[in-house]
Amino acid sequence: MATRLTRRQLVGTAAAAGAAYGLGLASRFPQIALGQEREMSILMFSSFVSANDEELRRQAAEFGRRAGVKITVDFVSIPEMAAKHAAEVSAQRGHDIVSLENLQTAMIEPQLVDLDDINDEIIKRWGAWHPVAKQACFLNGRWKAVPRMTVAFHGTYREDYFKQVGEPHPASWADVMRAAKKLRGIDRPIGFPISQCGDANNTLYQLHWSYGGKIATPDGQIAIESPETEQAIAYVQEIFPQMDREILAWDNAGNNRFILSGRGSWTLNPSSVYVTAKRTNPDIAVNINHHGALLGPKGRFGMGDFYSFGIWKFARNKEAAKDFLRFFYEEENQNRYIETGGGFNMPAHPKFDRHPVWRIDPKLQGIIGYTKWQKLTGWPAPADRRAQAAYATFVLPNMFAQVVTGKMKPKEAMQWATRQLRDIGYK
Amino acid sequence: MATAYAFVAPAVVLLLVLVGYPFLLALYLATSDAVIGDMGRFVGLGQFARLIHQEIFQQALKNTAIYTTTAVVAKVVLGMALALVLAGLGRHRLPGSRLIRAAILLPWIVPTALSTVAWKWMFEPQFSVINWVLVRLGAIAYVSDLQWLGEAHLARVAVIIVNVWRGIPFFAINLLAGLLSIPDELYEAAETDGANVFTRFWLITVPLLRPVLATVVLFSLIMTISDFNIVYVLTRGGPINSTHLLATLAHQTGLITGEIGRGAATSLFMLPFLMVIVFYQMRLMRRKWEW
Repeated sequence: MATRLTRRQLVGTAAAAGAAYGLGLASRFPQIALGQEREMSILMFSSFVSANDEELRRQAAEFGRRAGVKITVDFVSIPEMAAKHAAEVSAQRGHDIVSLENLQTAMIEPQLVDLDDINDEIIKRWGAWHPVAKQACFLNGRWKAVPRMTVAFHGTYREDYFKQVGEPHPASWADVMRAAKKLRGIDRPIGFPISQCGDANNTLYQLHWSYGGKIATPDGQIAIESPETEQAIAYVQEIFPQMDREILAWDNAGNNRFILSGRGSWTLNPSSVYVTAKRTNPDIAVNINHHGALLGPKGRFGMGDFYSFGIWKFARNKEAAKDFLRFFYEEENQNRYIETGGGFNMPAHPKFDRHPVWRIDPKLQGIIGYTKWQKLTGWPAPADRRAQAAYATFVLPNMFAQVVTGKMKPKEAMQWATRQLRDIGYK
Repeated sequence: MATAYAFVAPAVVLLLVLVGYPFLLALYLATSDAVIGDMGRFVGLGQFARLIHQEIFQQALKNTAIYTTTAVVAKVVLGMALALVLAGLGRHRLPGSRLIRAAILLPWIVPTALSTVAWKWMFEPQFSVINWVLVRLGAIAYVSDLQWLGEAHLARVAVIIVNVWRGIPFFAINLLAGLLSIPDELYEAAETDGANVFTRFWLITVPLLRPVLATVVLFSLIMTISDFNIVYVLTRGGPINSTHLLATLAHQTGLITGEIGRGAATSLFMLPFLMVIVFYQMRLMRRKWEW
């Protein structure tokens, strides 16, 4: 049966909708008030923990139902994302919300809408983000993304092997060196990649920082040739013989395989090794433990892959996209999202460092609050394309590799790294 | 006449859209300072001038030259040897020769990324079947003695081995087709005149195979020089950039770092050299061959 709306009814409905809108009742889900079905899509990284992806889908569906928005979530692997960004920017079409890793926010900043409003709401509600979140998402005085989480490169070690050689829970790089020499003696070596993979960057940047080294200054002046870098190189030279030479060829899964083989005793990695071991090799899992950022002569530094959400300027449904982010950052939804991550994905906001997921399992307690030590690649140099290029061309891992393979002396390797950084655009 | 043009038009439009437009866009990007999200401005040959001063580019260029030359030569030699064996099998009608011919195509048919992952496991020292066999044969003492992907010279050898393994079937099958088209009478006449196996190969087989050889070498050169998958999966250009090819460097520069202009210039750097090679190969292929 067709229903005819009289002019009086139409005016009344519009007035009620307007009043509801004005009172803020519909500000979260304006679509409900306006009675429109709209579409929105999210481009997302596939998580190592698939339950996290399922939870995001669930939240998206829930939001869609409440807001009257047809919402889709597309997952792609991490290496595919840069090409997806390039294609969508080039076409000026694609998803509405886009997932960003590390410096990707800075690299495509002009294509992203300002998200000051959402971040201000979150900061007002919960306080400031972890410093690394601001480093990744707050650019040129504007929030260009909403921080999501980090995959942290904390310590993963075999507690039984460490006990066997009389070594405690490692807390510093000096502890790791001392243990490494003893562990070599029982043929249970430690290992971290000095190769062309992201894990090598994530390990060696934090080691370099903890010795006071940096690739460049905040104003982009090359600073890698320094006594601090030389000390970091000396550390790596000393520890290299305690590791298997295959670390020179490791990819991102190399250290996972190493620990899961039962031979390896220590590495820096997210808790993926432990998560996999619990599923496939409980005998190894029961002996794995974790530790936080290691102390060096110049402080304690951490690193990892930092993830955030942005909204394209060319998004067709920006308001719905913002509303979804507000919905995602409701406390209950954040709690469920973190819970389904099983402790693998570390929070971008300190409020969630207190989440029970890291307290239920005693093996994860050592990494609580890791994010506060974390810096973004290139730090203290600006978060920009040059820092991304230094990361992508593996300048730091290759500098260390030049020395440990005997191709160059430390000073030559630092000069080599300087040339690479100059080619990238640093001054 | 109009009907003929109408029939050809869809193919021409497809070519213009799928080949012409991307090529012209790549040319523009290579002559611009474009980055992702900003089409940049025209800088002429500025990107190329900057590239040739970069150490990493110089190394990738050298690597590409060594990789392409070594791999193509190896594929010609081994492909020819395999084709001769297959031709011999066929000539003597040995059982299973058709099955063998089909089987040798497998490396070429299997998706490169997939087969390269298998090679990666074979080269991985901890679980390497190659090193395990070498230890059993007494060639090395420990499985960790040969770091296939961790030492620069071995990593270069490893990526070339995989490329050659993958490319041999393409050469073998094409050369086999060429071999089977050479009339037996020529060999019989040469044999009657007292020519030995090598003379027959050098004076009959090689000259008559030249058009086929020119074609497969041309295709292989183009495919090998722009190879990406093998290096990307096996080494990501490492260790210390020793296996970076222009294609992997272009991907790294253009997509990972977002400098689309410089990435396009990296991938187009070899274009003039390739065009010269294609020009001479095409001339060779156009020659009339009679026997």
